[in-house]
Amino acid sequence: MSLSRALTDEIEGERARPDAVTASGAGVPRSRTSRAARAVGTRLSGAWPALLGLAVLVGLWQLVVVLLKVNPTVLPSPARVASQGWMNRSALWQNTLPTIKETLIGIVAALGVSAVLSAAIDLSKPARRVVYPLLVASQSIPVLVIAPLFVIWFGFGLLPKVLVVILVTFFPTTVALLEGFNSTEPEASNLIRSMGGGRFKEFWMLRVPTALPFFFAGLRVAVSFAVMAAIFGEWVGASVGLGVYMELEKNALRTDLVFAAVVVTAALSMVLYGLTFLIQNATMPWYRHSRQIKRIK
Amino acid sequence: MTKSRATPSQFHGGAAIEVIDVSKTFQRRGEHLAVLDRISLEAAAGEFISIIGPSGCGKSTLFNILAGLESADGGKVEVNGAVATGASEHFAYKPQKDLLFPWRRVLDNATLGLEVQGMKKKDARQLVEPLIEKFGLTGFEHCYPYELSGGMRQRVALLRTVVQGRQIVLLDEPFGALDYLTRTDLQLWLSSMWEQFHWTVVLVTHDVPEALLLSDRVYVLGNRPASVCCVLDVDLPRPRGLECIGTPRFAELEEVLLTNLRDPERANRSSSIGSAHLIGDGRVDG
Repeated sequence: MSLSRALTDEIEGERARPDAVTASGAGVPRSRTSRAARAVGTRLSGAWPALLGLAVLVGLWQLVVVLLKVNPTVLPSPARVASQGWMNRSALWQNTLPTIKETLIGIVAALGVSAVLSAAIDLSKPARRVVYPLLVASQSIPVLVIAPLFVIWFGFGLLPKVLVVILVTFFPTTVALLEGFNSTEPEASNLIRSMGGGRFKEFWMLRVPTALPFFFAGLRVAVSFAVMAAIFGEWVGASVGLGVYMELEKNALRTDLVFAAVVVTAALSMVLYGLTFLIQNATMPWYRHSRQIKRIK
Repeated sequence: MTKSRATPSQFHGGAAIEVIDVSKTFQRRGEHLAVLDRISLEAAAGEFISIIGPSGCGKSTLFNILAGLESADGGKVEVNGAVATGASEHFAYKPQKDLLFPWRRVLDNATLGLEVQGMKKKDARQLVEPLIEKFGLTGFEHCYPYELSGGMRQRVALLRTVVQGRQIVLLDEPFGALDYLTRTDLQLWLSSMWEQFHWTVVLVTHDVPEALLLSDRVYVLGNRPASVCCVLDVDLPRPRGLECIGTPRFAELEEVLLTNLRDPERANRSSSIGSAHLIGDGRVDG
């Protein structure tokens, strides 16, 4: 499952991070902007293989459709998807906006939920005993069942979709935060205590920053589910949105436009995923560099 | 001028500490595990003392008791004559690892203790900044810990410890993880810093030359349950530099300590007798 894998990857990296770096790493750091620019450059150049792979795949697809004269209702060619998508861009865009809105509101709300839950669980033992099992149980509710109920309870508006997004995304971030809090070094906790700090100072000054890398790993998992969750929420019952659009075009046998909507969905997910890196680098400038040094070593 | 507040002078000096008959027993699955057996030691205000002993003899437990992280089963700790058992506010504790927070820059790591005590970041920085140069960190104030060498990280950790304005500094094997050269450098540096500031320092170490180079007095702990089996006054002249290590007197004292550390027979025999008696008995004078 992608959740556990992504978490393990990040966490392993965190554990392996060296405590000390030898004098070679010492020196007054260069300006921040040049570093940021280099980082973006590295990331883009790293994307070339993926883009190349995608291009090959799309090319093959085009070739097969043209050579075998496949009926566009069954499988439209990429060129047709692109041209029809472009011709219907205003309809696509009008249905994309609500989906973006639901996704973003849902993610932000889910972050609030997981911040409160994880803090409560970390700071109080009773909360851990009572809330944690409920959290896990909440994840065994099939979204398939609960999403239509949300529509019955809250109608066709924004709320039921946001709820679906929250339900799907709050769990990875909560678990990641809890793991992060727990990865705090006991010696560091003792240090804060020896300085006269109580439970809350320790939490805020030590446990929260320690948990940040874990949090971003969880956030990436959450974000990659979020757009899909919003679309599912729309699909169950809505008047507008990519989910509705796909359903309508499917019924109209416009497979090409369904594909166009899928492309938009994938692009949305990737943009959100990329955003998590931008936010991570902005909030934890120390983290990326220390990991780069580790890689060099 | 606000700068007057931020002079390092307030970090000078310390308080007298006396540890009297402190004992500690851990219970593990119903078994009693005696770790400390009536430990007694003392340091006058501005004195530098070391506790040295074999690995796992309970040195860290003693420190945890002083730092208020664990409670003692018996005995008491006095600071300036007043009972201070379990009260951490007199002690600035420097654990074995540097434990710099990777998300804080050098200056912010140094001010951590002050911020935990509730001081505003700005005030704390003003207090710490004048010491940056003395600690050899000029130009690195705004670096993250990963950019520093091991020795620099330890200096930041020491700075973080002494600026807390507490009366007694507890150093738990502060240079244990460093290479030989860096360690020697830092020992000489710490020695010169102590000459200037005269903190009251309790150092735990198992590095015999380190204890001799830095301390006014060395307490040797025996095997578990640990008790003081030997007290050695270090009468080497100060200030002590690298040349001090080569003197015959240094070698003599080193041999005395090593013999006491390596002779378990003697240590065992000693710990079976009362520790108060022993301090008088085991004291090695010249």
